[in-house]
Amino acid sequence: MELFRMECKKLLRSVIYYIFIFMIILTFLTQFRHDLYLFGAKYRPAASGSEEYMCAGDDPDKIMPAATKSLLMDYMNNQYTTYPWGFGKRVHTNDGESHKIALILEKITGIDAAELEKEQKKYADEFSDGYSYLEFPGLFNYEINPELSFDDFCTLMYEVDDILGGGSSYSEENLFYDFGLEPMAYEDIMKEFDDFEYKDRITNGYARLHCDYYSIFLILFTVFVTALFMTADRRSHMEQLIDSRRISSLKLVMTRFAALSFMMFLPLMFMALWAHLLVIKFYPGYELDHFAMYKYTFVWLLPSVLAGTGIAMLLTELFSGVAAVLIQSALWYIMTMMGSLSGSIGRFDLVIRHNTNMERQYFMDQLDVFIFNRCFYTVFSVVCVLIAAFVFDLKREGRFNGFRVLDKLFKHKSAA
Amino acid sequence: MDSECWISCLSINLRRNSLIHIIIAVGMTALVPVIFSISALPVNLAAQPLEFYMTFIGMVLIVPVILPEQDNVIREVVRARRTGLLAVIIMRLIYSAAVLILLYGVVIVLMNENESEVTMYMYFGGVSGALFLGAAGFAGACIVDNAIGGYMVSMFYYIMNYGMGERLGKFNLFAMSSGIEEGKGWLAAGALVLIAAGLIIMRITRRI
Repeated sequence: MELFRMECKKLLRSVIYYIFIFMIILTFLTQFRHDLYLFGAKYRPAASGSEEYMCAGDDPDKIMPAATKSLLMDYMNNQYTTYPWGFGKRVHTNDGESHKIALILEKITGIDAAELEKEQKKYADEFSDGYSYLEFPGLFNYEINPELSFDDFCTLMYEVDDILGGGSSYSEENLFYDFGLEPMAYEDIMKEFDDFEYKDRITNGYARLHCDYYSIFLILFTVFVTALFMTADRRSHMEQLIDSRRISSLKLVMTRFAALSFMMFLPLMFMALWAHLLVIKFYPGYELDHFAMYKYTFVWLLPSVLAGTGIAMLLTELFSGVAAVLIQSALWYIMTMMGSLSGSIGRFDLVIRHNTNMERQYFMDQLDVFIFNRCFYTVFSVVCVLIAAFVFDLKREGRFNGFRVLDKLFKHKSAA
Repeated sequence: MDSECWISCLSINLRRNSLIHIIIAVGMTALVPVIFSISALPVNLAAQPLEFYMTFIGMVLIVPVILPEQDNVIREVVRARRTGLLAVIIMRLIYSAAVLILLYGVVIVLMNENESEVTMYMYFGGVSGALFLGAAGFAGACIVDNAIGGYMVSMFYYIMNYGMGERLGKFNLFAMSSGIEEGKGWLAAGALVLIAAGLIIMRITRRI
């Protein structure tokens, strides 16, 4: 306990810890608070048809023609926009890929694949500026194959997405949203509001939104404090003194892990309190769940703090503080750029997104996956710390000095 | 210090202190065609790899400039030498900036060869953004006297641009991707100011 208090005091004396707190507060002000002021106390619409409440529909009569036309246009221009990494990427297919897509279009439209390829080549030779498809009106006099079922159509679209390398409008994640977007039915909108007001009791919905914003950044924010803290002994030349102490490596590393996690989680609970008070201000007279912010922060964000800290500790012990920062930053970047704002929760997703205070049922339908995910990362963080403790012990015994890239290449060689 | 010494100093710094960071920067640049499409892009899509991704190269190259002397013992040994540490740090900054400019140049040429709409302003804008991000981290590292603090400042500034890019005005890293074709000069000037501030802070507090 004494060691735990000492490690916490060390963190309180660190400038980086206060920068971390500043980042937590700024995230709250620019994300959650900003959204609450913008959208808080939204009133129920009087009727449906509003473009504010849209959803991905599954109407085949809408999706099939729209997706087919889009694919035909992209095919003729041999230019497809995909988002495999979150950024727009223009894909140009080679002859083999183009032929596969032509065959898919033949199955959908009945237009002969050889004819399509001939027109595409003629188009490419005549036009260099793209998207002059109106020059070929004949191509758009087609009918969707009536014997093609909607499921088969979707399968063909997913095949196109595979050919393009993923992230296109024809993927399973985007097909219904990009081509089937429609206003929500009034009953569905009212159900959303009813769930938000009576089942979520307002605060549960906002708690999910609050946690969503932090879950994006925690895996990144934690690495800086952890890496700096773990390398403090070496910087102050205390490592040999500490190495000679009787305390076991496991106890020392676990205590540091506990101190780091506790001190980085504490500001998040204060932000939960602030969020709670703001929601009370925006919803006077409503029956709120006064524990919502705290329980969601504990269940959703604590495992994120633990995982971020555990991974950072392991990387710091194996490599160095700088390497841990770069690797974990790259990991964060990839996870954030490739994710969507809200969607199905994966069992092993480190960053869980649910960027709305609504859609309660969508979240609740995946509650078991969410709980598994959080438990998994809690256990994962402990495993990382146990391995870090093992590595620390090897270093203490002088049997391992971390992976030092390029050291062997530039080892000093005597001239003698 | 005579020119032979400077050449030796440059060679040793490149090999021992900066090589790993340059390798990482080159590796990141090599991934540009993998992550992004680089052919036949209009201006706003062509600006994306330059602003959203390659700006990190500024952080990778510029922030660790003070890393070798982060240890106080090493810094005291180096300060006792005739060659000023400040001059060595400036030398590292110059060649890091040169590598950054070169890597951006490679990507610009590659995109141009692949018929993307890239201009000299985009080249200047991309380099300015990367230098600014690196300089922000450098200044942060000088204040905290730790490169990790510098990385923290750089990453935080990058994230701020996602949520509050418009409010950052002329210091918006992602302006070109939003269609704004001006203001990058402010980033370049800001980079110089931040680097100068960092060096002054180090001079005063660490007596380099």
